[in-house]
Amino acid sequence: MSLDATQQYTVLIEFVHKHLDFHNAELHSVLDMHGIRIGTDCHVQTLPIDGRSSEVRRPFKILSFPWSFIGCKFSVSDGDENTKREKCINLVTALSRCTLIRSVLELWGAGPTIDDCVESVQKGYYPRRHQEGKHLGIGDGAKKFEVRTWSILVHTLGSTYTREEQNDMRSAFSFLHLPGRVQMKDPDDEYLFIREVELDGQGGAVYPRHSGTNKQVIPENDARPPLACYFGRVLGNNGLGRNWRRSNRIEQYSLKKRCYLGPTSMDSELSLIMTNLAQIKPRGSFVFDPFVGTGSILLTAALRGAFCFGTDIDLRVLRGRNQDENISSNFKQFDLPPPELVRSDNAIYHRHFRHHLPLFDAIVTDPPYGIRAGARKSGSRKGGEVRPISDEHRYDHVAQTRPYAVSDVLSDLLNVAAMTLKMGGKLVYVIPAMSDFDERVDLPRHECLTLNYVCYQPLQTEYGRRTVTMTKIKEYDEKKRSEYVENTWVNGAESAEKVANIRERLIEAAKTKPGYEEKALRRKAIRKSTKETKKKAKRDAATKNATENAASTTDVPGDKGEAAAKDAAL
Amino acid sequence: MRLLTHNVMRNNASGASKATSPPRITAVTKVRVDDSSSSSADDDDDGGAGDDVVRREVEFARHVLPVLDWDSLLRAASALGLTSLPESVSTELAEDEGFLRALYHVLMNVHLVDGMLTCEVTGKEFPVTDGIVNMMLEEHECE
Repeated sequence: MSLDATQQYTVLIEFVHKHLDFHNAELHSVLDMHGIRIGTDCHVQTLPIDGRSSEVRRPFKILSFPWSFIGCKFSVSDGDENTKREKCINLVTALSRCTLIRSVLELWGAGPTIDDCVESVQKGYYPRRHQEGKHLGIGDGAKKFEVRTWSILVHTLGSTYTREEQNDMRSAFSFLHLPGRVQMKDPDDEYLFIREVELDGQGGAVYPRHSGTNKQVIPENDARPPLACYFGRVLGNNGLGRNWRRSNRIEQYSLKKRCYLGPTSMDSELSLIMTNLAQIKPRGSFVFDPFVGTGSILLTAALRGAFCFGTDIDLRVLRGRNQDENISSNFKQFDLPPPELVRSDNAIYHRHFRHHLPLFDAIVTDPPYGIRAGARKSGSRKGGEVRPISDEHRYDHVAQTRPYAVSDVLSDLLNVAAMTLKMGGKLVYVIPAMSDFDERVDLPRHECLTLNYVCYQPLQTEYGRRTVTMTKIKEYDEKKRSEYVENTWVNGAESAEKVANIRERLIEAAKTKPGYEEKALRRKAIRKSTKETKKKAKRDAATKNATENAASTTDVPGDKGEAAAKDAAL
Repeated sequence: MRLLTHNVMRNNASGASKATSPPRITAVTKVRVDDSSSSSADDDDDGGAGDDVVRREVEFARHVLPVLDWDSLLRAASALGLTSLPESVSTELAEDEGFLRALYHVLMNVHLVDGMLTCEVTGKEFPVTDGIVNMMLEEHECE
């Protein structure tokens, strides 16, 4: 069989069923960062489906590349001999950066039913290409087709099939006549058959094969045809394998593993996605977080190889709890170079730093919205006339801060990004919103920044947050500063208002729920009792001290003395 | 505080709007110099960890060189007792790997842990404690 120009090299990308709105944005961003353009270098193919129209999001994506690109412009080799070659982009290495990709297949065939799938594998060029084995490389490590060990796995997206049933599905591909030995653990070639079914928002099957209670097969669901079937060879077999996420050890960066945390630390998964949206390159990137807090976002930026710079107005979070619990200790834990921290105020960034420098490759941040942490900026709490600090008080003086309106937090953030990003640099930030927030009109804007992606993450029914990615496209003009700030909110105060009082609105919403009163009373009682226990402990400690002092002179018999002895023993 | 950070800072009191250079390092109580190899981050997509660190450092230095205020950097470096930098940077030097590595070392591996920065125009002092500069303004200095 010869190749005609219409045939394409296709890969199937399987996403984890999480952060659904981020799948495309992360993938596009990572492809873009490696210089792979969708539309010219590769195309997105529609997923196979039999007549049914599916409303649900499917965790798959098919990308196709012209055959002529494979092996010269792009490589899909598992080994790294090709990564050293100039100008050749290793697709596997590139895609493995995506946090949300579970695995990637070289798609040998696909169709709405298993028969269609088998037929398309038979028609395709892949089996013969693999048999010829030119792409397998000629290095010492590369094994010839005849001796390659293999396995075929069956993936049914949460539906359970017995071993025999799985074997039936496997045997549909016995025509491949793979000559090597079967090896289930770490084979040279891992083939995967995927039977896709409809998934709900949580990633569970909409029509489960077994009932949840007695584990009986539900006949009408069992008879339901699959949404689509796929067969292919797993890419990234050297080290990555079937589950890229496990190989990339995303778990180890979990917040639970870190020694220093705060209430606003960003979860590791979302912050890893943010580093991809920000396109942080492995070498020489300079990343800035103006609301650094416990440094959770910068940590993942450093994992990607960036040099990190963070500022915060709160000196306490920057210094951490003690020697072993601070931002630097988190970085040390993963053997990363510590970030640079400065206590400063983002509202007046232009007065702290030489702001006209295009310094940063990316700004990645989670600004304070007053939901868990309130924003503050420099200035007198009382307002009005402020006297300068006299010389004798200067060294003891603690500079005051005052509340910082959310609308100003965002307009300052965008303005600082426009000032300090390099041309083409990325701003990635998180913005919470209730359901009334319309991202088309309510998102803050800046003349120098263009909007790339807005990804929504639902948190509660009415409430969620968006991760916004912007790129600097225009030089910042200092003279237009006030104009920039004025034009941040297209809808003026109305838009700003929607993100400003989320905490209050969440509390209001909670109050309308049934059972709120009882819950509130119970919480109040718990708070009261904890307070009393603390008070009592304090009182006891005081009496203990008093009795100890007394005991050193005379013996005090009775309850107090015994309690003190007990305390001392504890 | 690394010297790179120092180099991008400026005097920030409201009276000092004309001051564009970083505040002067006026007191140095504690300095930490990291070993250059200790700053290696894990990078498993290509081999040769040592090579990779060097490449990363050189690339980073080349990256930041155009934005540096060279005179301030020289002054800051000499305040910390570093004299390895040349008086000026020629275009040939900017491509020299040895120079870029030395520059990286000065910018990134030398930390002012405890000390004081002083604004040349207003005389305002910014203390550095545990490597963190406190750039906060006092109330009367805000607009």
